[in-house]
Amino acid sequence: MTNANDYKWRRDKDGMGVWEHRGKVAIVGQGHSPVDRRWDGVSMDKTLGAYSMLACQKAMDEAGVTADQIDGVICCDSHIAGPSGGSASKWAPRPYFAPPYDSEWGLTLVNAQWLIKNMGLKNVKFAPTGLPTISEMVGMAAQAVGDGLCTTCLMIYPCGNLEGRYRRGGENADDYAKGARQWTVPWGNHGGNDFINIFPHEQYCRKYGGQHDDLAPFVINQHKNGMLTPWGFNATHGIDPITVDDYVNSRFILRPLRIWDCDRPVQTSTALLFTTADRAKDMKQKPVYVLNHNQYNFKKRSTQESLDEIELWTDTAAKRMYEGAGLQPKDVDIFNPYDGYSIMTQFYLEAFQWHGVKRGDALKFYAGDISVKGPHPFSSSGGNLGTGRTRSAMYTDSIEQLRGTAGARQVTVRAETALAAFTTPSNGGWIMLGKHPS
Amino acid sequence: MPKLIPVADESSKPFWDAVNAKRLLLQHCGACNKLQYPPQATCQKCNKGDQLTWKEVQGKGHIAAAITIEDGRLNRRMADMPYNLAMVTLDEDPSVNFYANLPGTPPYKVPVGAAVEVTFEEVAPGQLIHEWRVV
Amino acid sequence: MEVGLHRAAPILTIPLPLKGREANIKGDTSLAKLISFDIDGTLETGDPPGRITMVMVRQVQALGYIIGSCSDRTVSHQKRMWQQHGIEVAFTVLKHRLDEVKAQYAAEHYVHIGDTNMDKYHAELHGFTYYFPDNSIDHLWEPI
Repeated sequence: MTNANDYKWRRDKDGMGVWEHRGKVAIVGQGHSPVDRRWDGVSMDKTLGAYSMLACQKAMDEAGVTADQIDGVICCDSHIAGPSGGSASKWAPRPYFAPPYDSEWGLTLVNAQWLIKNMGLKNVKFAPTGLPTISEMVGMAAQAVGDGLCTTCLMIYPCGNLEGRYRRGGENADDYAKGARQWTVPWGNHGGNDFINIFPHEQYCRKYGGQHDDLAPFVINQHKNGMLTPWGFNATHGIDPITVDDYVNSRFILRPLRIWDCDRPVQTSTALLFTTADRAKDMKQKPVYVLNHNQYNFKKRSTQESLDEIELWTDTAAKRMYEGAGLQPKDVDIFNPYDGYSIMTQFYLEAFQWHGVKRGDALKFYAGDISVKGPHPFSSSGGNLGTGRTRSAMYTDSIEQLRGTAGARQVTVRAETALAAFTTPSNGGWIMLGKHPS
Repeated sequence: MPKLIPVADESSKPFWDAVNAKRLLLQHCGACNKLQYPPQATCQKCNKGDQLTWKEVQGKGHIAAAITIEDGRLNRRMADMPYNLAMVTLDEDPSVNFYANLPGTPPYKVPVGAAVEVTFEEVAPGQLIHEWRVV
Repeated sequence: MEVGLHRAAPILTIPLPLKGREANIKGDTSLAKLISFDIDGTLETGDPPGRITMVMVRQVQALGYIIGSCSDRTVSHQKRMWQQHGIEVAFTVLKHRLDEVKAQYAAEHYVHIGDTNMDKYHAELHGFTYYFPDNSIDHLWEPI
């Protein structure tokens, strides 16, 4: 199997021009597993592996693709409960279970090899190892299909979190700070997107005016959109959409960051099916075309990311994306940035200048009509805040909006292009999708 | 405050040795004339390591931003909550920044923009860390 | 400049009518005991379900305790949960608002039961005796 690092698939530099496969790759299927708060430790039909296979099957069924047609599988073996989540429950309960759950594979970790074996995918010729998360895997899948490494490619993002917690226990329970943590945790930064973004957000409010609680309309709208997303955690678990009072009275976590600014860790899996534009014509589902993909891995200058760095990084990401897609801000209809903490989304909105929003304008924009039925249907997916920390709602909503199948979330404005991402400001990537190939 | 105890490694040992002697020593790239913190194997700007040396800095800075940790995840610091976490920029090179709990400044009373100076705090016998105090 | 200032919230969001509670509104000299229940991980209705059943809640209420909930769940959710189980409670407050409960109700002893470090933190901050929802709370169900 190829290691992902041996394949030069990334579009992570300035000046790369219009993507060579623009409009020649399509997404023809998508599938979400149920979204659970945690794994109960006994239901073998609710393991991360079972959920990943279910998501794949749904994506294949949507497209009318059978197992023997799959020749590419791109699946990262990251999981939120592990090192990135700092959880003590990194590993599954012991003793293990009957095959295929007789090791960590299928329980806490899922990769292409495990899926190929357990789904009986006999014709896979491209299944790289060492993969990044969904933000970059969508780009890799698109590039691999465009480059001809495979023609019908499943991309799976297993978002495992056995105990439904985040950054509790593990190294955060330690008395000592090793490695990169020696520069952060002695003072209290236990790591994560919340710390990355809360300082720039605080600088943002002082630079441009506005207060933290001006995020309330955005957070509330995410919850509303989440309730319109039938597969999401909020909709399937009867989570009340919050009110302004709920928001402004809620508990602080990293003041001014409130509990409702944070997304809910969940256990789930999502699959997308990529193929060539030519093959897509014969499939069940209306194709959604990939117009560009970009990645980045910006290095912070010092200990803490500052507002000016984040504005530079997000401006760079937007420039690369628009250049590669051959589009401008006015051309983008659906905009689904990452919201894994509400405090970061304004940086993307302003960098991509969606609906003309410039630096410093986001909080005022949030105060306007950003509902899915209004003129500025911002983050129509509901994002992580509205569906749980799936990190995939941004992608599947974009696909559904372009297909015209978003149901109660379907926007009333034009829906022919969409931008989606899972990204911190420094790492990750974006994908531009189109209803039409050109 | 029972802060977590930093564990020096090969690249950070000169830094922590200096801190334990109550001195603030940062990496300096002779090629770029640029200070660097945290320490790294190469200069972040020119990506070369052959001209990296250690340079003592004055330890004067300003508070660029601050938050209050009310629900942190570090077991060792649970009893401290709520506590300040500030981002302090170094006057000699404001692109260099540090975290600070700002000892002496009560939570919610952080004077963002104020001048600070480095101070040193013992977190374990013989192990100091650099902290910042409002001037 | 101070950071993180926010709007003040009204004291106690849902004062439901309850005879036992009214007898112990602050200023009254007859003192009862008060138990605050966290929800998730504490009550059987929580996510994850906790050890304390609604039957147990009714039992402790029958023993004369002033009871209510204190959770990160929205107040509207808390209110609906109690209504669905036909239990009238004295208070439904957010996790960090136990001080309001104490200000509102005079009690001989204030107890908060919850399963996280934040339950412990806020309970102790506001002068409540904290219990994890395990067998350490069994004595609360003995007649007072």
